[in-house]
Amino acid sequence: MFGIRTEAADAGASLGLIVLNAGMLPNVGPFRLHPELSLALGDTNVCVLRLDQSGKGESPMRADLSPADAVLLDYDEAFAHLAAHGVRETVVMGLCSGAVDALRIAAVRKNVSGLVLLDGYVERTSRWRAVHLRKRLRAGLARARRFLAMRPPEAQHERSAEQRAGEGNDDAILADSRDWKLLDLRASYLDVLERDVKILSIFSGSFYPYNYAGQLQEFLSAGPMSAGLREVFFDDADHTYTVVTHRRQLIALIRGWLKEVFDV
Amino acid sequence: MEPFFFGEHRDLFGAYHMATGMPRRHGVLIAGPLLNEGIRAQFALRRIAERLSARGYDVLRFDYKGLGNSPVPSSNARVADWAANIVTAADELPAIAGVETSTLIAVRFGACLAADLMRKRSLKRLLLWDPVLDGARWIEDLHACRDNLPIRLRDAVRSNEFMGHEMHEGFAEELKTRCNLSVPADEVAVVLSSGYRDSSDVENLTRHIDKVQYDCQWTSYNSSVIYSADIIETICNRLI
Repeated sequence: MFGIRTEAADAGASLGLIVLNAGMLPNVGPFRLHPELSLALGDTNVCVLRLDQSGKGESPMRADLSPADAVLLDYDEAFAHLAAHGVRETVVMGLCSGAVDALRIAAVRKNVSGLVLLDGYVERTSRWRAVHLRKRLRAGLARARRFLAMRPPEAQHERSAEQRAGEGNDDAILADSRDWKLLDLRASYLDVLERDVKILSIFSGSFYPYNYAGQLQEFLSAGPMSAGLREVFFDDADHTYTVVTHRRQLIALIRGWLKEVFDV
Repeated sequence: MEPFFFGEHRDLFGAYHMATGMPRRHGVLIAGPLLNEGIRAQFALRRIAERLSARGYDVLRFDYKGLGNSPVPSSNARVADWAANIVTAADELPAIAGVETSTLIAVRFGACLAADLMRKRSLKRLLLWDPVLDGARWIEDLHACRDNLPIRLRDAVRSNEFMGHEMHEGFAEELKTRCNLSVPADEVAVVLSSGYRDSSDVENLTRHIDKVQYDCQWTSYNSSVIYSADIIETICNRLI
């Protein structure tokens, strides 16, 4: 197993942040999001471990295990490493497939106290369909107006393959599906919330299954249990936080949440 | 693989793959690409290193200052630092592996940066993968790639951002002036993917050119991993 640990400001820190891979990208994450986060948390009492899960980045594959079992064993080894440095509880962070891994880990490992989920699992609600339809109608009207105005093609901002990639339809990340049963994920959310695990769930503006603030709360219908869930719709940002300003805002959001909830 | 930090300020991340096959007492240094290209190529470069170490080579991969696993922000790095980083890594390899001769695998802009190394140290062989041979042209590609972003993202990108990395203000000018690849190595080979556009320039460097049908789409905000078994095999076979 390979990971890079960034020491907390206080050597005796009891909270560890374990950052999982985003899809098949190495532990640095998209556009070095993860080292930037580690640097930003340098003055807090959080010990950060950027992990390469088995088969990704610098870590060898665990050929003898199912992907789901490998995720748990990876986490256990990461936690054991942090525990040797004084960590007693963890927050697990992941983007997209990493967020799904993080949720599953928290569902079965009681030493997880918090989750940071970036474009994590959510299902489409009836309101999602209404918002989606409204957006499509608006886009259709805009296309019709451009056509009627006979604007030249270059002004119509046709979406190239590059643009579509920038909007977050990132095959490499989305294709990294594990053998989790997705239908159980709502139950996993509810389980961890019931155990008082704190969740920061941030959705970007280009994550297709999510299109309005509060969609996760509505999907979970968790009632009073959802007090531990903070849901943020970061509409300006794309799936991989391509823009430096958006990454900084994201990091500030995570840092603020960790300080507020875990008093670090 | 043995990971470590090295360099005067310990700001370079190294991944040393010790020879596990019949030792050849020959080192291979991999100077990878920059920025997002480097993140996307990590998996392929690791595979190349593993294969070569299994065939008896001592291999060192490294992350330049401010990139990859280096513990400093990207905006702190200068192009001159990266050129010096390759020299530092080339000196580190014989120190940890005890090898007397080395081959350099330089990928993309790593080829431009390697010019300093080739002036200062003797190299037995040089292998280039989709080399950038003109810094000014690469900057144009970087700008074009930014222009292709969706409008809402493009408008938020500042002038000192390149492929998702914040660089210092003079970065583009530094890149433009940095590329004058002379090739004093005994033997030069080049591996080109199908999306490579500067083949005619490469033909002036060497006649040992392998072309592989795989488009790496290097200069891109795309976050998909660059991986082609054919390219990896071609590079490894070229070295043996």
